Amino acid sequence: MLRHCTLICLATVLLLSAGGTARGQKWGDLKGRFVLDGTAPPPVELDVNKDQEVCGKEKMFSEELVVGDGNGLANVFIYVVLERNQKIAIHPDYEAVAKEERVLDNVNCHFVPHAQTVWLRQTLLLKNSDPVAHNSKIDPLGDTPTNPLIPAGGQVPWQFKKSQGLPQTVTCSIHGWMKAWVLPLDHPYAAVSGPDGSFEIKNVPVGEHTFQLWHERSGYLMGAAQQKDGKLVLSVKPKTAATKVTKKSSQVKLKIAEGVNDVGQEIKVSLSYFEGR
Amino acid sequence: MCPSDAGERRRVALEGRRRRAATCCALLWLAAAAGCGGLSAPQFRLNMEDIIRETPDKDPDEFRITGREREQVRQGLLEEMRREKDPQKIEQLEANFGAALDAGTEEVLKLKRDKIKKLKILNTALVALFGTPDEPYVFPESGLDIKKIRLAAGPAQTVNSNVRRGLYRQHCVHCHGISGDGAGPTAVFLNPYPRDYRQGKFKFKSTEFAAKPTDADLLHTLTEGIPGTAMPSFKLLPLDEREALVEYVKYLSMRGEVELAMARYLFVDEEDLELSRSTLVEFLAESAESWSSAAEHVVRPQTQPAHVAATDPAEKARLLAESIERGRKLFAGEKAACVKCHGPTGLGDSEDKLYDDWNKDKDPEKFGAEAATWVLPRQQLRPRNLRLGIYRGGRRPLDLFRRIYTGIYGGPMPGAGPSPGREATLSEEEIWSVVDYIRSLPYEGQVAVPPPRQLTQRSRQSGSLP
Ligand code: HEC
Ligand code: HEC
Repeated sequence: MLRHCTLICLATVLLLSAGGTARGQKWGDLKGRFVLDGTAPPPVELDVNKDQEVCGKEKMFSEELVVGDGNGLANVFIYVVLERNQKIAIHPDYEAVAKEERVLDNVNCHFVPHAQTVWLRQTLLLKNSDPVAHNSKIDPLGDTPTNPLIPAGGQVPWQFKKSQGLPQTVTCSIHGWMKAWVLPLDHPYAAVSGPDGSFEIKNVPVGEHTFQLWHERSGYLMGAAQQKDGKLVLSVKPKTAATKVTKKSSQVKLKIAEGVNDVGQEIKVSLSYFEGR
Repeated sequence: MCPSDAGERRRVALEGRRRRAATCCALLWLAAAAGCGGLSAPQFRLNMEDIIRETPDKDPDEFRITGREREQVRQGLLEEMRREKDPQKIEQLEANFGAALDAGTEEVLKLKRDKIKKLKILNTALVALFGTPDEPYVFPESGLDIKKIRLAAGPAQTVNSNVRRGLYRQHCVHCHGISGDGAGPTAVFLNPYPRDYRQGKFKFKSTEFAAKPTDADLLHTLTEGIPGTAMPSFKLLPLDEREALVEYVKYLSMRGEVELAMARYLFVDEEDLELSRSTLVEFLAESAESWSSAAEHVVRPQTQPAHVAATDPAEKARLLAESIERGRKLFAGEKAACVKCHGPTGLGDSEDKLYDDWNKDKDPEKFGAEAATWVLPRQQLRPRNLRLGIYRGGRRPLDLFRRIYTGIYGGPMPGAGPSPGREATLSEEEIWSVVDYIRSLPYEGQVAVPPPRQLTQRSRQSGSLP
């Protein structure tokens, strides 16, 4: 039984990506766009009580719920969930991606980007572009925690060892309002929706995969898939106060076809997901 | 209604007892896990605080039958009994009341049933791996010494009994609690609270940030106590008893870590746990490994401060003064950034929103009414006032070096030393200077320049490298 992605699993991923993929494997891209169905509440202003010269340049707002142009819903995590011991083919193009660093920067006393995914083969570079010191406190469930001090202009590489079921927080103890979300996974098939709500996952092996949808404010989003006019369409089921959303009940199976799978440019997420907290 | 006949009276009395029993169960979270055995042998309690905090929906009611829900079912059962005329059937209903109550409540709560069932499995797994407070048990894979654990476990012995047992309950339990949850009866009156061992996090140790303390570290904590806190010194206990207590702390800590690992698997990953030996050992292995390899992670500086090596007293004093000055600049600058929390004068007054890992997620706003039921309400952590010269992790320069190098595990203070793949934020030389500066802080302002004799004495102490 493999509870977490241990070294063995990591090694498997390595093997698979190093040419172990079956010849003739076909790939498809998954893309779409989340929108908020309703009017977003005004963002909450943060109490910036320190290092005013750097942190207080502009008013700072909570990024718990970020809605962009055309009501695009940012920071929705969408990622493949593997069964225990399940392997997934890795497209050769990801070989280069594995060597790319992921960056979590400190800019004007907030984390950039606010939410991201990291493949375990990648390094997360904790960077500080500010002229003031920061620290990055990370306590991933069941994985090694860290809390390095990062001087002005400094950087610290960090390696996650375990795949997580849910995004984990990164905080700065010096500036208590700072918070980011990072999801370490043992495969690269994951995305976070951008400022306009759009997302794209490249080169997913053709076939059916289980996807999880998650947003920091709402928790799990209940995905649903449909075929409409021969096309795959993703939707997010509306939620009421009484709905119990569990991990399993919120997962959605998407059948990826060769080529581009655009699952909808207006995937509506009801406002009720973000109320009553 | 007046309970005129004896049967009715008996029923009312029974009901009262059951009501008390029911609330007791609900409160102790044991309705699901261990049953409510009354005053029988003590049991380890499940770490529901952490389980709830780590579970995605963070809703305590997901894991238990609430008082209101239970009451509804109970009323239903009582109603049934009232309607029943056949004394034999009443007798039967009474005898099965507890079971019927459980069955009935579970029936009402289909969704919760899954979680409650998992709590029972969790409890069974933990008893299988670690036994009970009176009958501890360890797998050989744990690397723990059962003989030592037996010496520390069990009920406290009376003074004239010559059986040595129950050391933990004699010396530690009123602060650290029977389960090692840091929530014994005295805990609520203390600041800081006693350590909750169950997350496997210790603050004052010789090892790297997230590494376990060595046996020597724990023995040191026990022998010296933790200055500035309620944690007393147990210097007067014979060495073998202190060693037994160290082993017992590791036992409770390992039990807690395994519990959390299993709980994450059950409730965060939403998987099913198979109660086989090999599965249990797999959960145990990670924690056991981290404990047995602790000694490989001891932080040992490669250098000494220049003033320690110097032999000429005047030269020594000059070098020390220089070092202190360098330390002062670092402390206040953007590189070391100590000032951000400890304040410009080291009083620890620059940050008032800090919490350690045991308190950071205890946000009363998030938990609403539930927060009122916490045994230990949220407690703030002040950055240390460095003008007092009281250090919880030891006052030797080497102790302070390690605090700054690794940071303090389980809390917000970051580390300035290297971590895998990166250069240190502060070089060893710089850390030693900050140490010199910190050690000068309690005297600053009292005497402009500390008299040379005192300096030499202190520098001699600072030469105590391992
Ligand atoms: C009067 C209350 C009290 C008693 C009795 C007590 N402790 Fe503690 N203990 C504390 C407090 C308070 C702390 C936390 C100090 C802190 O966080 O700074 C602590 C911390 C600890 C730590 C953690 C140190 C670290 O590095 O994190 C250990 C280990 C420990 N105690 C062991 C014991 C043992 C074993 C006994 C019994 C022999 C015992 N304590 C008795 C109050 C107590
Ligand atoms: C993010 C805030 C923060 C920063 C930055 C910080 N500290 Fe701390 N420091 C704390 C807190 C909080 C404590 C109390 C820790 C505890 O008891 O759990 C502490 C404790 C200490 C202690 C007491 C250790 C003991 O054994 O009692 C020393 C010494 C110390 N810090 C030195 C430093 C130095 C030197 C720096 C700069 C290199 C620094 N701190 C940076 C928050 C901070």
